[in-house]
Amino acid sequence: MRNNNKLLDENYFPGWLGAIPFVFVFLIWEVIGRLNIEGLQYIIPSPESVIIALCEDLAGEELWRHLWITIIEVFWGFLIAIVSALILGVAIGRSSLLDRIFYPIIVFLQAIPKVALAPLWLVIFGFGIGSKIALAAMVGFFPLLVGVVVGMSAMRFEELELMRSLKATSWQIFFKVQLPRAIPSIFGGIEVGIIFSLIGAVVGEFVGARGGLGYLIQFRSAQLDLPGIFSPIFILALIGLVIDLATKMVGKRLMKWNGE
Amino acid sequence: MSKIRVIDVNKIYSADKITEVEAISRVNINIEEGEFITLLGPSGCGKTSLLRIIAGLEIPTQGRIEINGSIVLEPREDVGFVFQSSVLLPWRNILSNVLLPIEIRGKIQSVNIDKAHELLKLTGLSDFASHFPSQLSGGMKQRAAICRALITDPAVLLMDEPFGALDAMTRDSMNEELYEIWRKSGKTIVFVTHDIYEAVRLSNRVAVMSARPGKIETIVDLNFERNTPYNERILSENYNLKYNLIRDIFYKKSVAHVFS
Repeated sequence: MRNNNKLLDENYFPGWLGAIPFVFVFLIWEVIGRLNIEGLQYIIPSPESVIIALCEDLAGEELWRHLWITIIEVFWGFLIAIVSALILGVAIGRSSLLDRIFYPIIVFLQAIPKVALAPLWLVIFGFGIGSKIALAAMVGFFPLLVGVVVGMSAMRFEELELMRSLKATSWQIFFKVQLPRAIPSIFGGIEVGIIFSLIGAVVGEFVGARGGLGYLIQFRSAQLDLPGIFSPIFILALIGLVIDLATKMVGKRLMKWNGE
Repeated sequence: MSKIRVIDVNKIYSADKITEVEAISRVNINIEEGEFITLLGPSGCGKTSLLRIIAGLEIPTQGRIEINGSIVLEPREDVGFVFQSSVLLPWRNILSNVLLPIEIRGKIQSVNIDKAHELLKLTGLSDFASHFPSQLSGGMKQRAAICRALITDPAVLLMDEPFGALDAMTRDSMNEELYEIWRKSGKTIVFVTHDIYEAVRLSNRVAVMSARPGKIETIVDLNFERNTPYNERILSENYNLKYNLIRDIFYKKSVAHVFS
């Protein structure tokens, strides 16, 4: 029976329906390529040429070298972001004094579009991967911090009362209740933050770099190598997808209890 | 000497700087060792506040609580508290929830685990030790919460409407279980409820409270033999007599209130 409510309807339609838009986009793309309109082939490369470019890239060395640079940047950037977000978030979540001191500046910094600082990081940290790591860390930091801070207040009042009645120390309360309660929200932050770090790294490479997928995209666009632009974009989308699935999987394992 | 002495306890909550609410007004009770006393009253009469003060979760504005002759300023190890909701940690299974108080005090030993299984058996939860709270019904969760309160074998058990959220049938059977636990263990129990039946089923004495300000109207001694079995007790003449007596106290109070 079909219901009219989305929540009740969840499993009514088969999953393969999600493939329709992909096929549709691909077909339109192909048709436009076949029409052979004068001038258009320079702006929109045919699917064929993109696939060929992608295969050549995968077989060659260049793409892999740039991919590795971007991955390194995202790895260090995200690591710095998550460690600092956890330290600051937990400190703010545990102390109302630190909350009062740091909250205003966090709100202020959060309001700055972080990518606007890319040129500044370039000046400070140079053309190498340092400036990209800095940008990836900064862009990824805020969603993570929000996740941790929100998570720290997810503990329920009755749970605090229970722990108090059992004479638990404040660290026991933290590790046995506050932190487990914060996990769903922290993972929400990780899901967003890791993708933000990827964006940060690529934007950093746009602004000025000697390597990385962002650099490759820009280099090829300067040469008007349009099919060549699409293959790193495709790889970036794939990285995003893999990261997203991996975090969701780890999160699900950790939050088996989260039915309540 | 009495086990618990409530001496001239006042509690004033200040909603803001001008408005003050007197939640509890000059309450005195002596609770004997091994007694089952119920604080009975309508919602808002301060019975929960009074229980929380006895537990050391709140400090009275005036007056003091003494347990075994020493003043209560914070939660005590020999006092167990059962909350209105079960407050089980959803990421721990039932056994691990029951063992939480032991874990907070130090290391869990095999005697503790044996004791936990024994309590689960006593409350009919043997088959659910490794289940998670979300897999249990409301009554089962509350049973687990009682096991958790009993695991440290406290001399005093404070219970804040523990069966208030349960349906009438489950509540009746929980009353019987609790009564039997008390009858066999000799613990001192202070029980809060707004259900006259529940009060008469369980207690030695019923402290009838009234609201605004919360104070003790009268203390009714139910005059049951300590070892009366549950069924004999609720089928007795005295049971109905005492129920009607307490009901009349509330009725007259509310009639007087309406006509004044």
